[in-house]
Amino acid sequence: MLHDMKWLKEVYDLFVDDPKLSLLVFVALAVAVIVARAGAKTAAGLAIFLIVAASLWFSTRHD
Amino acid sequence: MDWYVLVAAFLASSVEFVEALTIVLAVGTVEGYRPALRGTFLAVIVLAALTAVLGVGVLHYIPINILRGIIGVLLLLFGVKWLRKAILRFAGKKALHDEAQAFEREVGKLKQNQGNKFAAQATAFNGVFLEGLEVVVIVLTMGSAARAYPSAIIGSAIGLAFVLSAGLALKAPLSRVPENVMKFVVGIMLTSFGSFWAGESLGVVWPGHEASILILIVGYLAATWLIVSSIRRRDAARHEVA
Repeated sequence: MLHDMKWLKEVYDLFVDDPKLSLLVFVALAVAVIVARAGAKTAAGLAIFLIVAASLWFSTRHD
Repeated sequence: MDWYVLVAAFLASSVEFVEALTIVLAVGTVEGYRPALRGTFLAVIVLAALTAVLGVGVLHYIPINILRGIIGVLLLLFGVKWLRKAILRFAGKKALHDEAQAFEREVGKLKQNQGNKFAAQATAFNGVFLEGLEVVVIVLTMGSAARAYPSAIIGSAIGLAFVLSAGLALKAPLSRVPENVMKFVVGIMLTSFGSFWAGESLGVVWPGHEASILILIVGYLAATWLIVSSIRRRDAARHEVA
């Protein structure tokens, strides 16, 4: 069981370094879905870019 | 041939294999090259098998739209992780990766346990396997989402051949490879691809379709340059006050 958990942690570490940054990536994608569903399908792409860039700004300045 | 995928796979595999080479050379220096090469060979076999099994399974059993969504999210997470580290390195908040120092550290650790050939082989295996795992993720994600497995595999194979031949010729850690710049470029590419594929699967319409990847690359480059310079300016101002 513990051995399995260790592997799970390895996989988690492969993708996540700063959990807040990863959470903000999901927020960016959720906002994109809402904007795209509202009909602004091109603006949704811009939302992903802006939120991801702002999240990187937030994560690195508060390190 | 998908050149975006080939370049990203080449750069990512080169930086990861440079780090793996440092560990293998350290094992070779302390315990001889037989356990070092045995560990390396086993790790390469396991990584190749993992890529083949997961690659075939992923492409055959998961519909491409769902696949691009999942892979887009994973690539985006993977990309921002690399990019964050690169920003911190270039802003002077995290030490730049130095292969010569990493080699000395590894040799020091191995000398504490000298004479244990099995432990040396396991160290080489772990080093190559763990560094190679990131290459497998990139080959699998970019290869399957862009339907460009050959480009991803060729890119990473060129990276492996380049690092191996340089390592064999020099028999020293490749400290002159611009590893930090390469990691920065890979971070930008993975984040751009991730944004594109994750967005596309969520209903985003990208203007110019795949041409948007280039716009995203330029956009993320500009954003990271702004972040790095703002952190440097802030830290310089703090030093002046102090």
